[in-house]
Amino acid sequence: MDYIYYSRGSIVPALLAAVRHRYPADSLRQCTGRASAWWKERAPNEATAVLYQFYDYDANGSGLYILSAAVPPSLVERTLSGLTALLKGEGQSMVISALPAFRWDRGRNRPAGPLSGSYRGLNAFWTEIGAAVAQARLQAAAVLVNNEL
Amino acid sequence: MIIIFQCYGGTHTSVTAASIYTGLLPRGRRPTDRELIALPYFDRLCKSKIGYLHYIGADRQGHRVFTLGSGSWGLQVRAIITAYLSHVQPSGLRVALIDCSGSLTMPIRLGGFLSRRLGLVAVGRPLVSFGIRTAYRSLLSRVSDFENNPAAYIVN
Repeated sequence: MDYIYYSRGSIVPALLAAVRHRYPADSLRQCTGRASAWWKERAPNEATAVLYQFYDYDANGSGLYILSAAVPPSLVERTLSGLTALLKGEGQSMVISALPAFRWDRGRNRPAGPLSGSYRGLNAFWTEIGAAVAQARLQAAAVLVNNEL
Repeated sequence: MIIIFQCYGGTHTSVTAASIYTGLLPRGRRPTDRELIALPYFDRLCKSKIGYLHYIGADRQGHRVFTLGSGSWGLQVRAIITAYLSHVQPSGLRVALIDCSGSLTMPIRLGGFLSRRLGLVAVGRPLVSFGIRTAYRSLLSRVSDFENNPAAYIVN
């Protein structure tokens, strides 16, 4: 099963979720360092409306992908889920779009932090990321159980 | 090959074009109101169904034909699908995406809004049917263009 982490407007939540999925025991600081290093190496040269990249394989050999665009998360989830089911079969890929929002500081061209509102502070943001990753793993496990049944 | 007709709501122009392509609607004349309204999914999907692929049928070669509503995000959704397919392991399946939103006219927009958004089906549906019949030639040419040059529409 492949995991596609989608975040709207900024790649940061999707990338951090993929890093957290790959390295579940790492702290926020460690994951941020890994994400930053990966981004320096793999960032596209030009700004694109849609960013879709392979991150890594997890411990089970599942592919981890990151995706970012301006499209509403539910629309991306439905479209890609339907397309995946047609191309690869049901349960072969999962789109995780319920990630917390993140602001981008256009003036300084760097991440500005979690969006205010329900996600105040980095710790709360990190908790949301962790919950989304854990939820994705549980949903994947449920698909496997359903297939066995 | 998987053939996807795409428009704003996935329930008017894309359904009509897909129905022309699969032979559910005539090519030699404009369809009647009754023929349009009898089409599956025609003016029957609401906003919550945007993003889902809806199976319309198969063409003569056996290719599966779907419709897709992408709201006002048509170009971005197309870019996402293209980016996604570039990473999918080659399965041999080609995907063609035909954007029908260029055939949208004011009566279709207004009728669709009345029928799908406000629930005023009795007023909106005849207006949509009228709009589709006036835009029928444009939809026919879109379908013919795809049939004559499918490579231009394939995204992977």
